[in-house]
Amino acid sequence: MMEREEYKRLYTFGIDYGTSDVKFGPITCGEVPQITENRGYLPDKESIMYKAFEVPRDIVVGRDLPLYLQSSEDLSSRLIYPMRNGVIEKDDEKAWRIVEELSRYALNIFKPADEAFKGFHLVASLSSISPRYMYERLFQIYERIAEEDGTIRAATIIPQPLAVAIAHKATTCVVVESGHGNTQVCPISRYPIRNAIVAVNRGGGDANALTSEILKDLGYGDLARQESFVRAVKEHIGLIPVDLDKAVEAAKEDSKRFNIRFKVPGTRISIELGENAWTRFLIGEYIFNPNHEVFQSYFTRGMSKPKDVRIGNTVFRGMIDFGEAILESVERCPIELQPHLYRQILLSGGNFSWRQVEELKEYATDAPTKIRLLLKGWDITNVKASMAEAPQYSVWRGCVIYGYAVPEDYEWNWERMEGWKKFLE
Amino acid sequence: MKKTRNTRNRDKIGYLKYTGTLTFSSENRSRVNLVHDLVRSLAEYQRYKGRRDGYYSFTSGQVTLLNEVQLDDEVKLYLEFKSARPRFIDLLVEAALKQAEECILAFSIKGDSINFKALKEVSGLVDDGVGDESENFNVALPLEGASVKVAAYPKASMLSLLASLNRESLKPSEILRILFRKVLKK
Repeated sequence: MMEREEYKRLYTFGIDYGTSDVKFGPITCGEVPQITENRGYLPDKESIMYKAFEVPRDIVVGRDLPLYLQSSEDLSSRLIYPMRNGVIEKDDEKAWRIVEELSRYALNIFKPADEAFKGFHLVASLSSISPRYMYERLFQIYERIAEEDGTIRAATIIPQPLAVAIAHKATTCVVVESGHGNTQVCPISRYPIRNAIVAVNRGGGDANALTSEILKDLGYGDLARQESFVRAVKEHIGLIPVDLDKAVEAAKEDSKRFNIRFKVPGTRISIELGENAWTRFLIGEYIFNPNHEVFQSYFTRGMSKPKDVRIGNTVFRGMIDFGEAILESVERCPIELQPHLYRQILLSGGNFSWRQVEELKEYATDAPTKIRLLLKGWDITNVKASMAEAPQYSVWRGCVIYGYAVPEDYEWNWERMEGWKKFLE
Repeated sequence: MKKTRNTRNRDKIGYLKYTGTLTFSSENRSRVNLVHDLVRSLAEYQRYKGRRDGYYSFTSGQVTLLNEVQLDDEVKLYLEFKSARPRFIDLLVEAALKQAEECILAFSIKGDSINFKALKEVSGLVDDGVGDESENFNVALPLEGASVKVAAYPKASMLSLLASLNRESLKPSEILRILFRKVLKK
């Protein structure tokens, strides 16, 4: 018994299926996991080059994926991001096959060459709004991997906000996890309060879309189509305004002070905002609150508005501001609990990592302060919001800590949705 | 770019920071909080800066209790340290060895400067050139006074060290210095 417990601690492995990236690795990775994009490519196996020179692969994932890309026209049908909304439809077989391949890839990178190795104790993390069938499909995939590759001895699945709370040893809190595709607001009182979760159909991808429009207006229309470039520009120039109106006014009056130049490393390409430096503030504001009238002109010109969408049983709200989303979520919890929840709001996910510029701190702020200001607008004070340490990796960190702590003999229970599902002895 | 574990600073290991675990068993004495004892021992040599996010925070590292298992006559502690400089790991191991005969230290080193071929050579493992170079492998390092096992993951550019240490063993910082000299690319 003790030996099995020791074994589990040695071979605990976390995997966080984010909307944009998969973060994975054993506990020995320390604070930074391995990362690969959450996507897969289905090559055209009829290609003569394929037939002549390679053993055809059905699906390509991981670091080498760009080497297999074929024509640009095919990308939309062959390059698939299975979890863009955090949820995979039950019968989306292509997406499930990619998840299986990504899981195999992640586990094989760290498969020890040790004869004593009998598979990892895998802790996976899914969006809090993932329906039960996603858990079932994932366990089926893990069972196949265990049989074929021998890399999984037992597995468990936890919701991403719970993993964040575990990583921060917070038992009563609200976790706001914001990734590329969406944002989840999840109150936690020992365990996620499922019927109080509010899902928002807005994430880093929306800020990219707005950055792309800004680049087009600046005359960089050709570059605005390349997602990785747009993302780099967003991360370099975007600012969260304390108050959008005041920030825009100040930046229009003194554009030199707010101006920024961005040079793409390793290229001759550089962009400069000049008199349009005020647009830096739009990028940050759009994430937190897209309801300001300034965004209307972008919608009118064709930028799609974040819509309310139903995925599975969950409605993802498009235009709700983050303050209102937290408010709505907390108010679905018992009244006595509510003040405790406001006192610990944990912000997690890459979408909350924003640059701060010391000289502009009068106008630009960080994500926790913005959340406090939005809640103040709803008359909620006594709020303590903080950033998760290493917000991109906190879900993965929570996974490995959870795996380390949950006893090896605690079996999976579908009612409680916790415990280990065992595949190999 | 993250500063921790940047293996380029090959001769300046004191500047690197590590995350890992430390495990040891100690006599089960009622009313004695082993973690507090450990923290007190550390505080004799390092300024204690209080608790942050569940971690006991010191000048050159942080430590927390991951798990505690009560056995019949002893208790087994699983600690995690992070943002730890080698000096802090030395002190942590020293503090643990005041309570136990032996402790198990585990941590990783990550970076493109790791020379996996050299690691194989150091350990006496023969590279016949036939197998896949990026395949994971395990080696035992021939270091006097310490049992150090290394799991190598070339695809992840990572090494995981598992060292079984006692009072006579080399200090963790000494193990690191030896390892860095031998297996980092020049």
